[in-house]
Amino acid sequence: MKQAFIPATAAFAVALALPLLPTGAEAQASITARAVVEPVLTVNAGNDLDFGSVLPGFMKTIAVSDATAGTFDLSGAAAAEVNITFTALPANLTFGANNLPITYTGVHNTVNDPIAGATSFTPSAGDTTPLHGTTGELYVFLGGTVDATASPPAGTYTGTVTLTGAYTGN
Amino acid sequence: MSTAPALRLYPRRQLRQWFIVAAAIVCTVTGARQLASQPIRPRGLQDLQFGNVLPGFPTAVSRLDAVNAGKFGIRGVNNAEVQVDLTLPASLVSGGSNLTVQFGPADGGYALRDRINESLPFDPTVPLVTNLSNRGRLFIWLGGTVVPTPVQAPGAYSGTIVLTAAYTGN
Amino acid sequence: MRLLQKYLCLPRSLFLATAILAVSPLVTKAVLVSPHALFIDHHTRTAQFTLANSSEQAEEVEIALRFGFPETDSLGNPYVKLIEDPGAEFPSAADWIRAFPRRVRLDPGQRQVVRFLATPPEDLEDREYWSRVIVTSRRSEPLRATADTAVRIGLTFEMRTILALMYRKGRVHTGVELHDLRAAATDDTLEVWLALKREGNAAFLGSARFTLLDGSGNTVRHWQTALAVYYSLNRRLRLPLDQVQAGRYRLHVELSTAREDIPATRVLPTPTIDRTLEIDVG
Repeated sequence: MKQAFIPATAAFAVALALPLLPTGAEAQASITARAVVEPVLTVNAGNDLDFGSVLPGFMKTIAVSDATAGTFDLSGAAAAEVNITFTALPANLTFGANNLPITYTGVHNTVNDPIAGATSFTPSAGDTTPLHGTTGELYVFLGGTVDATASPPAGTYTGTVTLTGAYTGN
Repeated sequence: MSTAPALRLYPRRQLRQWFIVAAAIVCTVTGARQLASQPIRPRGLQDLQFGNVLPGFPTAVSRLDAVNAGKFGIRGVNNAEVQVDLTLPASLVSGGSNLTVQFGPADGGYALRDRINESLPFDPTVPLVTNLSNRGRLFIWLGGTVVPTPVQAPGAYSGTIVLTAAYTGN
Repeated sequence: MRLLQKYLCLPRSLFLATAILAVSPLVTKAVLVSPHALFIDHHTRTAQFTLANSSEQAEEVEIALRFGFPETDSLGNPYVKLIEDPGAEFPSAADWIRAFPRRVRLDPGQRQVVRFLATPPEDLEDREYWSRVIVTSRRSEPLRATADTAVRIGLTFEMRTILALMYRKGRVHTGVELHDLRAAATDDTLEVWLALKREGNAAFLGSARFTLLDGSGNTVRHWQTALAVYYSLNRRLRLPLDQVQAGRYRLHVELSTAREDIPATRVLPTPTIDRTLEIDVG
């Protein structure tokens, strides 16, 4: 009977202590994670204006809606107004001393569609238009016609096309 | 007459055991009362700052970055074992836009002193069980990575990181 | 290829599109420029922007400064007028601000900070000075060589982004006079003409807000556009009137320097200009 004193006391003490153990008591604190996504401007060339092979003696046209039309896209602040101009648009592509006449057509749109809702413009004259009101995007499609009726010699005729996007709101 | 003869009934070895158990019970009760009287106190000490980020460019903050890493401090009973849980956002928010934020297995750091370079790595996505220092302190640092999409909307993004701390009772 | 096209019964354009998608790498974005506009203070005389290449090709980038400002043509369309050799009458900062580096090759995923350092003349008077920053990028990839006997075309695309740079010395202030305001509804468009003249010694970088109100004062449509007046502008705006019913409306016009895309510390406060016009739609 007396020997049962020790375990009984222990059990009593543990029972006394258990409710005091605050193992379930939690405390919380918080911090904030922060990031600022900067507004950016981009002018991006997508597809090249690809005429493929051109037969000497013929003309070849790539429409703005063709899959091989040149594509560009600009992005910036939503609804920001931008003046787009092809500031370098060669009238002739060159291969050594040989010239290959080329003319251009252009449309722009705030969605990636050269037909529905697209606006035609003269590439050399340019146009001023707002970027998309939500996405801040503008797509430009460039078509063209090369005139090889003079049967120029075979070769790769080159030229540089420069698209300038100037933001008019600042 | 009643106590002394009774005690004399126990052999010396048994009496020593009784004292050990009693001492353990006293320690347990005292410790439990100490835990109860000194609740665990976490505090947010520094926000996790990703700074300015560009669309399409993931930006990481190291847990060892004293200026930009998130930081918590925990105070409690000296040497007590604690469990630390971090509730981490999957994305930061700005208006209706979300910015993905990721936390890797070594993005958490903890140390017994306020020395970031002494911190040991831990996975902030799983609970951390460790002991407070002999002065009852623990420091937690948090790094991470934001992953803006190429068309991420500009703006100031934020999200809350919650730290929950509790004594384990061990 | 023609046989394959015929066999698959695909229209030519669709066939080409499919073929190109199959062989062309998907280009995401190219060179990013941030921020949208640069402001340099006479005390610090420095500013910086970040270039980043998020495409999968290396890009060659050049940075140049030219004097220029937005103007309007006779049809009211804005464009950025660049002046190669501005005279003393123009507050140009293009000659005494330099970019470092001026030419950089950006590999895919690479970022580059470009710093601008101003060394203005000693006797510079208090006011705002202007330049445009021209960022030209082109893909750094060799022209594809051809071995056949056909005529082939190799067009290189170059992209230029033009953004504004403002250098402010001393006390700068701005404002705008609204000389003329006209508006008329035609078909599904509301055409608004604004004749504006800048006041003060700094550009008016602000916005125009247009609110179309019905007879009960309820807002029917709302538009907003950024406005930059450096000298004078005779600006035409074409605001869409989709599904606005015929009737008499009031157009409320508000001009202010409130802008979300310019840091608040750089905005020059001005009194807001309010005007209201009667408009007949339909």
